[in-house]
Amino acid sequence: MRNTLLFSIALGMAVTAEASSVSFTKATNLNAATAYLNGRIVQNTVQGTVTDQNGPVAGVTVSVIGVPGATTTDANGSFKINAALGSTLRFSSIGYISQDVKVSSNTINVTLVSEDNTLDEVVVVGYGSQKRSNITGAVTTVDVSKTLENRPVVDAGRALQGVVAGLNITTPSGDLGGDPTIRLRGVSGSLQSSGGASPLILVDGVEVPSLSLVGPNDIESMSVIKDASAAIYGSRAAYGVILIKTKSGKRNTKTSISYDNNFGFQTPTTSPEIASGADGAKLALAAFKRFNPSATGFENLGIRYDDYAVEKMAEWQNLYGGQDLGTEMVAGRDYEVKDGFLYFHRTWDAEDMFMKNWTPQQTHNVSVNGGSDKVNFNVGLGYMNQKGILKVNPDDYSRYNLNIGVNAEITNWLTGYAKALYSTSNSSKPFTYNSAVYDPWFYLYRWPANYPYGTIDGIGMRNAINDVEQASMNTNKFNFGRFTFGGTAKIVEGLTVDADYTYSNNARRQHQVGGKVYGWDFWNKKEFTQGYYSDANYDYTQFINSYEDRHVANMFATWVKNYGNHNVKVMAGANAELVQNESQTVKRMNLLDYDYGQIGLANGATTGASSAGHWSTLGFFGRVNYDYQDKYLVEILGRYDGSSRFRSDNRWGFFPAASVGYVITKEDYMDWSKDFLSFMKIRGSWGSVGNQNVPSSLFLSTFNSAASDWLVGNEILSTLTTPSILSPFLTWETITTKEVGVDAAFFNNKFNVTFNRYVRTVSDMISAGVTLPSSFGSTSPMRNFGEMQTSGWELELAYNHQFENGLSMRLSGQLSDFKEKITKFSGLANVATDGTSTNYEGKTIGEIWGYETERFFTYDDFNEVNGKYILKDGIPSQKYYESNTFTYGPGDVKFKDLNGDGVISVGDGTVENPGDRRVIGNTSPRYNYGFRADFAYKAFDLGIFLQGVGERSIWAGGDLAIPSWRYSDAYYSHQLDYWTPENQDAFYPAPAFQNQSNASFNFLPQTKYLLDMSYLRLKNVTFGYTLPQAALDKIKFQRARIFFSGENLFEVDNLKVPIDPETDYTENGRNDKNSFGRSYPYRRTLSFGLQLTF
Amino acid sequence: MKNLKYLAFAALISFSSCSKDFLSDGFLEKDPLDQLSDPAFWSSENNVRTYTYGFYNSYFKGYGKNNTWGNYFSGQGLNDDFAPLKPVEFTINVPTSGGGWSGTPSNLPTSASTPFGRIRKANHFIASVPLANMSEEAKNHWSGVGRFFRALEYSNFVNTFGDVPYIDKVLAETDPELYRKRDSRTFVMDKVLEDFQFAAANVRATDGTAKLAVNKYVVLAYMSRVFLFEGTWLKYHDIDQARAKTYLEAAKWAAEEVIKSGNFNVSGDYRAVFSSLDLSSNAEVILFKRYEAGLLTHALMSNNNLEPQSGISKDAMENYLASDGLPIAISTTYQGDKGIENVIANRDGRMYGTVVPELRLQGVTSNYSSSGYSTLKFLNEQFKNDQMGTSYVNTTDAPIIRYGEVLVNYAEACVELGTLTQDDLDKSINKLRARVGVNLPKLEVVGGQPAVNGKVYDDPNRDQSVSSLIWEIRRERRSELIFEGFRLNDLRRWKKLEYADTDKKPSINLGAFVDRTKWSADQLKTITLTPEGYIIPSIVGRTVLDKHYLEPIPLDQIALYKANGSELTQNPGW
Repeated sequence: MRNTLLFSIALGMAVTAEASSVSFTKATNLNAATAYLNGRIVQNTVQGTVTDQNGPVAGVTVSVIGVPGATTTDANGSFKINAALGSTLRFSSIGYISQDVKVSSNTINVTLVSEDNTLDEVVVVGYGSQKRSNITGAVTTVDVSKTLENRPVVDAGRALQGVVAGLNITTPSGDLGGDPTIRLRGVSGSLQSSGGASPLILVDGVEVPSLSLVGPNDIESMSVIKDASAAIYGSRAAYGVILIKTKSGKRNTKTSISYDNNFGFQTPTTSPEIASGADGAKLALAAFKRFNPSATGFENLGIRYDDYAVEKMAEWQNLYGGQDLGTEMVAGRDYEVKDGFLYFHRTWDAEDMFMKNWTPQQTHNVSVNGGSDKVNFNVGLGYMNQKGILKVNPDDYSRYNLNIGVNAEITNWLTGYAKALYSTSNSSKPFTYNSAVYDPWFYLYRWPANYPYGTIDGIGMRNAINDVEQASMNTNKFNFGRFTFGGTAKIVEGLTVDADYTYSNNARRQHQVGGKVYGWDFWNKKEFTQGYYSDANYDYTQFINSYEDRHVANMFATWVKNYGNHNVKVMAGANAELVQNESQTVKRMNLLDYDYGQIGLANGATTGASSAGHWSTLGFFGRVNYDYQDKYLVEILGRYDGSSRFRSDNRWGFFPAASVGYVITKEDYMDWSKDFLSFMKIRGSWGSVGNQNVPSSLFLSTFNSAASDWLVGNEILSTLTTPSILSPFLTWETITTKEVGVDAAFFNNKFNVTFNRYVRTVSDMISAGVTLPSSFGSTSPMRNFGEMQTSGWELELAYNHQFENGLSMRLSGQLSDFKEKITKFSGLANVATDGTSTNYEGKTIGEIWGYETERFFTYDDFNEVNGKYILKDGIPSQKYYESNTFTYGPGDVKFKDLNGDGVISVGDGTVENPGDRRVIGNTSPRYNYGFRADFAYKAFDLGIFLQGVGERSIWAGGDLAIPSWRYSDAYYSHQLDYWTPENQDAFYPAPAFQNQSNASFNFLPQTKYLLDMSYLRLKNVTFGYTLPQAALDKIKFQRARIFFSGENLFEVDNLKVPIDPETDYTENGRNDKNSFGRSYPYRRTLSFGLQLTF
Repeated sequence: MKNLKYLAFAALISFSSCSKDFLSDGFLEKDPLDQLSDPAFWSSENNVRTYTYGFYNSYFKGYGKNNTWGNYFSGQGLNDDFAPLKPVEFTINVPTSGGGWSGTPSNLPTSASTPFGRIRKANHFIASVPLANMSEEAKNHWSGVGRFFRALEYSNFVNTFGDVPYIDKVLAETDPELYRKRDSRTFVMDKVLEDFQFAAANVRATDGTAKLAVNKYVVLAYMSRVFLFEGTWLKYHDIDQARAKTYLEAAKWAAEEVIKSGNFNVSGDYRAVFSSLDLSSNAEVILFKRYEAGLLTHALMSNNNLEPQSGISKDAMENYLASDGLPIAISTTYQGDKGIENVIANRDGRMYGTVVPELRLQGVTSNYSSSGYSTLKFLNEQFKNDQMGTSYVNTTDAPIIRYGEVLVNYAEACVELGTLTQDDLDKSINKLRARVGVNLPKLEVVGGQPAVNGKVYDDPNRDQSVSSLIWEIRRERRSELIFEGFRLNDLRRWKKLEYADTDKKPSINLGAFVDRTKWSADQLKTITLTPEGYIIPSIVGRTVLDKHYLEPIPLDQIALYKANGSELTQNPGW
């Protein structure tokens, strides 16, 4: 009830505050101009039409330079103004470059060129819009046409990479269809934030779960609100907002149909190369013998590796290397059983057998839009398809996007609109007969080059390729539908009320059909057996369905009023959201026929699970904007927010924000600078917002159901987890952002600079509870304690220039940096041997601890006693890391004794005493940047886009990053430069089995082998040609353009491991270091396409 | 204009009132839809029962799941039964955290990962049982089950660390008991004894599916195991001889209760206990873990078959008696250790259920054994080449606790108490010797000495610090329970960890005799042999120190206690 009242009052206030007497002094410019000119000698009426690339433009201000008053173009773009011959007319409109035309006749037709970063641009902000020059917060608008159109990217998220300062977009692998990770100003945001510092994504005012649900071509504008002014959206906008407005057509424009397409071809950027059979086996033997010196060889899966194997593999390479022998394996030549051992001699290029070099991709978009004087509409339909890189059973991703909008004037005071957004995507990939992290990519890069990928009697051997060939396709369908109804009522002049309601539904349907794989099983066998070799555990069909319903209602009133030099805008409203979700899984074992993955067509055990959830938020918000002469700008806003995620006694929070701006160039005393400084605004803002992006389980003590691993009959008994222990006092985290910024434009707005400096503080951080001894028996309950600060800056630059010869040029770039630091925390500050540290006060998020690599040990460092190497006195011992089979010797890594205590150690394992370790890197990206250069000359246009990360490192695990991770798995070509007595100048140390650890022996976290993930990438180059008007007229087209576009064309990096610099642990691989880098390849794309408007 | 304004007002107010329900405080009341809450959950016996399955995985791991297995076979390689290529080592450094003491406890039943996490779970369960709506008998039964699990946890905890803080309630964040100092192991084990006694008196004799749920006999069988351990530990580490006697009597009593029940019998086939697809009707099994294709599978059987093995040590092979019931050193039927066919000729029949009757040599075969001697105890011969016999999709059931162990526990408790009679032997060890296929003569006790067919004997290879009779009981235990995860604990409680030291007992790093004429030099070049021709599996050794009897306490907890004005003492030698 209380809230109902508040809601009514909030809106009521907005209504009643409306001033009773408003007089409008709408100058009739035509008259003014005429009046002024009456006294003059020459009178002349000039008329004409103003158009842009899409047709006539209404509302363009036309003025005579040096004469007061102006007129505007009507719905047909026509104008009429009095102007003397020889005087100059200025045509200006928001979103266009102003144009000055000398009056030489009575008819002047002007084509305006749209301008993407003018100060008059209208920027969409929370529940409204604002002129860029009046904005006091940190808002970046995205150049939609350059960023999204023409590029062979599959979704808007990927296209945004490197575009907006402070926005970090990453993808952990090149996998088809997945959503990129989007983070704003930081990575983790707060310690408990699920999803890290991810901004709220609003499309036409309502949250969408993924940016791929909006067709890139349906986007009309996009702005990113980065600072506290996002507080108007309340608790879910703690990390900013990406605001997207979809196209809706324009009133009074002729209906036009556009079609554009893009055909692309993709090829992997970098992929690991497995060392040849002999080279790999030699290295494997060396690593194995290190802990087993008496051994002559080893078997892996029953395949023998010894000197004979190396010799035969080398021999095979000499005799047959480079020849096309077909896939059929010949006994004796390709394999043999000798002295009871199984040998495979032949070297295979699994990657080549598995992956295509080039794969196609295509997009098509059709849109129809237009409008009469009362109605405007837009229909956009997009299709995208990407073929995967597998040779057989290729994976596939396709998506349709539909966007329909109609906006109609119902009465002269009421406008109504309806919008529908629909997206359906379908991805299919072959079933994996292993757990998700061990996908075909993992296995493709797992085994040495002699692992058999051939056939015997036409039947495949047991391997990843054979698996993929026989796999059914898993399908993953995603449907998203959304319907919005809303309207704007003009109650009186200056007062509008907007209300809308949106229902959206998304459904994900996954279907997995397993089975068994047939082939030659040779694992641990001397005589191969033909049959089904895959695990029976994968003989199943499984359906996973999940749904989400979302209801969103918004209502707000906006009141605008000018008192002379005082401009006031007041907005107040309410927002309510309700989300319900559920999911069900059902799985049945033992398929009757692997082509029919239905529950009824299987006869094994059936298992199922389900989950359901719901949450809601309610918020009341208000904002006041005031400016004096567009010079002094003030904005104050607040939101009173309630969330179901919190317990009822501290469910509500009030979050205010305020910002001020000072347009210094409006001051008379700045006149001296007018020649070069066109505009300068200094901004400052402060605001706080509650963060509800926390796990829901933090507030309720519950049991979760779980499987007990105890079977009775054919049922794994269910049981429950120990109930969690919770603090009764837990409440919101508060995120406070303080910011100062400068917007400046130089040389007649040709050169624009924006700089922001911010500090974002998460206080009352939900963090680990009081440190309790382990006798507590549970994780200590979370509490609001601690503080984390993200501090950073952003710089955006743009320069426009039009050369005399008609060449136009635009250079723009952005650079940003941030650092996340825990500024208050209670907890043990421990450093683990793998380089990670616990949370502690003063910690920089992402820090990697490790040793400084000094050099390799040499023979001189040791005394040789009975064939054992004993370290000479005075040389720091690394005994702490030795085992009974590994002792450091010549060729091993020697670490630097940083604390000078004569031994290499971990100290007491704390930050205060980390032994000889120090912070050697950080996994958070620093210095994200992007740079664009666009050129247009006559009918040609060229766009170049570079993107990069200045600093980032990873201490990775797995075979690819750590040689001899598993001695019996593959070695890669780049790992062949290892220390031997003959090659003491090698990159890698003497081979030694690492025991699947990146924190032992030679590969303790250290400077030398730390992966430097910084890069500079030529993200996109687009070259286009637009048909000249004369040609268009002939074929009755309004516009026709052909373009070539390339994505990820080349990169510069410092990596010594053949992985793409954007690689990271994938979602599935996050908890399994094995998987690093062995994932779906990133790709370069070459494409061409057409854009037609009828 | 004015009309419009009123209209808008009216619209707003009507919208607000219509939405009253929608937007009221109730709108933000969203309780979880798929989780149950405490304490409402404790409503019925069925819920109480469901909750107890969360304990099963912590204590009844069986053959594990997928690629892991519990303490069976190589799950516990640190002892003198195995002669690996590289000996498993004792803890080297005091850990900064974890080490089996601290760590982040998980609430998941399948990975309740710290002792204190499981203690908390048990204490919470014991405190919650009275809330359920059920009979007094049922409440006592389930309290007994809860106390049984708590007792198991504490006995494991004491086993690993010695003295530990004893906590028998659910601790709040501010409870001073959080920094409770370590209680002496006798204090803790007295409490454990109370829990076991309560459980033995109150847990139902039958409950749930037969052999798949905790009942009185499961409790008693575990009780005999736990107190045999603790009794002998106190005795041989000379901590408290009076308590040692009490505990050994408890172990004996518990074992005897199981024997007296008559519910169990020795299985007709030794190996069937470890390699059957279905143990539900095996008379020897007291509790087992069931495996089924596609639902729950393990890899122990394929590991036993296809992978290279850490082989049985020569020492363990020589533990088995000859078929005349005498140790090999004095047996007339023993054929010597040259050649596997000789080694296994005329021996304790359990050897045939344990050892592969052929040598598997490194450099000759891919599923070789480090000692040449391989194990087949967990292999089902009938299905070993099936899909089920490969990878981690094995479905043989795992015995959790079996009658055979109870019998050897009984015999050992008796002999350690000094009360072992012929009757005791006849109802325990001699049942095992009478097992089909074992074919050993009865063990007799004559004047406190072991005897066969009325003839007293003494193994010349006996550890002279161990009495002849105890030596034979221990031998029987080793033969019966080999590779079931007992040996290390046995050595520790007898204070005989030196048996696992390769310097003090080189025979544990010896394997089979290899006839050099049978294989080419090339084949044998991987193997290190003694001059006489016995395999030396490992070129590196293992040294046992006194401190290895107990694990070290992690540094973080010691520091935390200190910072909070309490003290957590480190174990000796660390």
